[in-house]
Amino acid sequence: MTNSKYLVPLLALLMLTMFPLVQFFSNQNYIIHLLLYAFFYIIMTSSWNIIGGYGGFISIGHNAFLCVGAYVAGYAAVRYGISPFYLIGLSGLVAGIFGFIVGLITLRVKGPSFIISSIALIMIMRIVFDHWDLVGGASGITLPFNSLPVQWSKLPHYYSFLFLALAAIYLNWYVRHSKFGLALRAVSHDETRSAVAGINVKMIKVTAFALSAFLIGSAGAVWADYLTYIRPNMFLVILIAANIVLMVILGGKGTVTGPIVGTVIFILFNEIILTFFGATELNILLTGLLLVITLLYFPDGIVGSLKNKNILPKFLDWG
Amino acid sequence: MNDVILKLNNVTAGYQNGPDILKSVDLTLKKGEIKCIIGPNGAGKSTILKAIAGILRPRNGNVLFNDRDLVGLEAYEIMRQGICFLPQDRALFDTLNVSENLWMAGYTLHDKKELKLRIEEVLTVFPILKKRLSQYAGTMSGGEQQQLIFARAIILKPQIMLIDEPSLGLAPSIVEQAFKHIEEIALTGVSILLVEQNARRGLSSSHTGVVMDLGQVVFEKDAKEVLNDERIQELYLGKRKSK
Amino acid sequence: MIYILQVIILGLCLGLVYALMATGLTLIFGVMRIVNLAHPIFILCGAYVAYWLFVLYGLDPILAIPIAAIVCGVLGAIVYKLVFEKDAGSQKYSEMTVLLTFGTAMILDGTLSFFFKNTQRVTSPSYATDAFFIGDIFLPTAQLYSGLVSLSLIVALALFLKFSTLGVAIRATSLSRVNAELVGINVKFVCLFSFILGCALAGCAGSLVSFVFSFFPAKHFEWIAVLMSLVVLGGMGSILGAVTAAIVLSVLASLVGAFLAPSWSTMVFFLALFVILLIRPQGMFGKYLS
Ligand SMILES: Nc1ncnc2c1ncn2[C@@H]1O[C@H](COP(=O)(O)OP(=O)(O)O)[C@@H](O)[C@H]1O
Ligand SMILES: [Mg+2]
Repeated sequence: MTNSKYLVPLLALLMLTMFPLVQFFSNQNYIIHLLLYAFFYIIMTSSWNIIGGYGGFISIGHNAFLCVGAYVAGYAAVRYGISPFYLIGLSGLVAGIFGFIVGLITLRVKGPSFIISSIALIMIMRIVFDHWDLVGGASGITLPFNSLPVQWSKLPHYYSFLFLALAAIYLNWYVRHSKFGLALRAVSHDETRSAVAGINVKMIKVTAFALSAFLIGSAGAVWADYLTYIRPNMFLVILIAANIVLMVILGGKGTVTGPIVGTVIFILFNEIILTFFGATELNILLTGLLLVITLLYFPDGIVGSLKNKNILPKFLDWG
Repeated sequence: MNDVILKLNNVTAGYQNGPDILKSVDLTLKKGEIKCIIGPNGAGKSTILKAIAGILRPRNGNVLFNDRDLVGLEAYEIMRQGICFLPQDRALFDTLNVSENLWMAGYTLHDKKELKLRIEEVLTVFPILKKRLSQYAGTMSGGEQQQLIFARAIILKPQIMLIDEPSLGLAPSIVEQAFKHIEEIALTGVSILLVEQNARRGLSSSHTGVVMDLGQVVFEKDAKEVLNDERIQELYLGKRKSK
Repeated sequence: MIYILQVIILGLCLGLVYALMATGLTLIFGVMRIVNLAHPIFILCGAYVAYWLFVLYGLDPILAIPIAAIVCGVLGAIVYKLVFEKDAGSQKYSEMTVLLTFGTAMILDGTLSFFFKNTQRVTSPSYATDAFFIGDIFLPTAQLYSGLVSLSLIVALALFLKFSTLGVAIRATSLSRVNAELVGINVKFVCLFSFILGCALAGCAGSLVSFVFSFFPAKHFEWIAVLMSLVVLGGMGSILGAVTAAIVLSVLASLVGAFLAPSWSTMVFFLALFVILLIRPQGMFGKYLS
């Protein structure tokens, strides 16, 4: 039954690609929103997984790159009237370069110091963006609306995120199975030995970091257009980063499918909570609780635990 | 002199999920005896000491100390029973000063006056330390650290001392000094289980010798006999150079 | 000139409060090797205890310190038992432990938010609006008191670590768990005790903070970054280092606040962290609880 390994993902992809056709019959904008929201988070979790899962550098500040991407697109859209969709690549590039520079500094330390530096990064950016008049300071930027009829207005975002999510997943798979990924995992185990084995430790780490920043930054451009206005306090809050980390750990860090599974389950979980309790402060409590329980009892996450028990469905087993 | 104080029965042990490093080891130690364990690198000599001290929990078998089984106790509980372990890496608190190190050595002694007396007593045995009381242990010379280690060891008047490679990394004169201390301590009735790379030196201060290889005891005899056994000389002591 | 001096003295007082906030964190890191991202939320819990004791019973927040310490200590013991006990005996540091503390912080944050909403609060004892004048230097009483109380608590902690048997055992354990066990120290007990002591110190700091800053549940995220930068700067686990870092940076921060804009002042802490990572990743000071 090796076919199911390809069959299930391909079917899922086909269905997701065709799904917007339902809009011809009835307006399912909320489901479209949920799906594109899931794609959006899959981009972030899969990208995070490259440096956090394979590289072992836990960042609680990856939303910094989302912010950079969104602001590049948002600024260009307002200032030069370019649609953010044409700026996906540029946003990614700027975020990637920014990630490269940040990585050069923060990846010099491991473990707790690195985690702390990632939190500090968000704090610094928050102060800077709050004071940066060019991009609207604390009140941010309002982007032009797109002029599509409401039924179709979410589709550009839907397909862009779907495409970017596929790219992120592919990159994860590539990193998992390439020489680059092998080197990255070697570095995460023991930097000194990797260096002795001839691996350029610094470049490997920083490249992985920049790659994940690139993808998240690209998503930022689309997200900016989707939100239609961007403010520092929408991006530079720890909760977004915490969600990313939680989703990856829940699914299983250092696996290709873990981030996807974690994201989907977390978003479902969140929806259920919202339906039953509404949007209260309990949300953050439950997120924390879920994180603690996962870490204490299933530190390898869903995919990792199933794999350990050899009962991982084939279509989820991509390494 | 003949009563057994420590007895290992069938002890099997290994690290985490790894293979068994010790395979059904039996060993006895008598009161006042110095027993030296020799054997090639990786034979499991240090592992035996760790298993007795409770740093490594044996997977099987028992360790009887005065007929009481130690297996399952935490290391600190075992130390409180009157066993003292001097590991290979010295185990001093580098950035505590000498007096704090001695203080900690007597941590389990709740009678503070008694502790003070014993520290005084130990300082008369190791007078060099007296001048160094407020110096960080980590900044002292190898020989001074050696003295501090023995000073710490005898503060609690243990019944058994487990010593791993006392000669490691020390100058020859300091090694001699260490073995002198070991012999003196044994004369006070303390039993000593010693692991030594420098097998000749270790054996010549000991009463009995044990040869270990691949996690098993292959040979146990009087220290002198072990020293003179031709097979052992060839296998484990290196050939004697002709004069 | 007088103005600069005044800004420096104010920075010094705040620095002492930050130092107290950082000592508990440093203690826990030194002994357990846990970067406790939940520490700031414990401080907030202490602040809420002091706030409600003042509002309901009119108890002075300085006198509320012991109660806040006990409440936070008990809370710390519960959290320790539920979350950290499993890892307490192991030598190995793991990133996962940091995330555990982060999850704990979110749980407590959510609980506080649920009960107290996002309202900004501040305890207002009578002296909160008073000030001393020394010559032309103007000194708000609240800052002065909080600085002095922090200083005395820090000194008390230092004396405890230096001269009591348990204190030296804590330092010994922070140097090496195995070696500590080998002299008969019950390392798990020392871990539990240090964790509770650290949380109790957070509670003390919370009482003081409650009349110096206005606070609300999400405030702890800002403190996470500030306190962590102090701990990293101080050399991870050195109390003296963290205290020095707190005082120096806080004085700098209040100079920045006075001459640039108040909202830029915390930037000093974060930038200092990055500069340290650039030039000296192991921190400014030596190792562990010295
Ligand atoms: N902490 C450890 N974890 C895993 N394996 C270990 C550890 N310490 C020692 N070993 C293994 O146990 C075996 C015996 O080691 P040891 O007892 O130290 O030998 P020696 O006789 O040289 O003292 C060796 O193969 C070594 O690789
Ligand atoms: Mg050895």
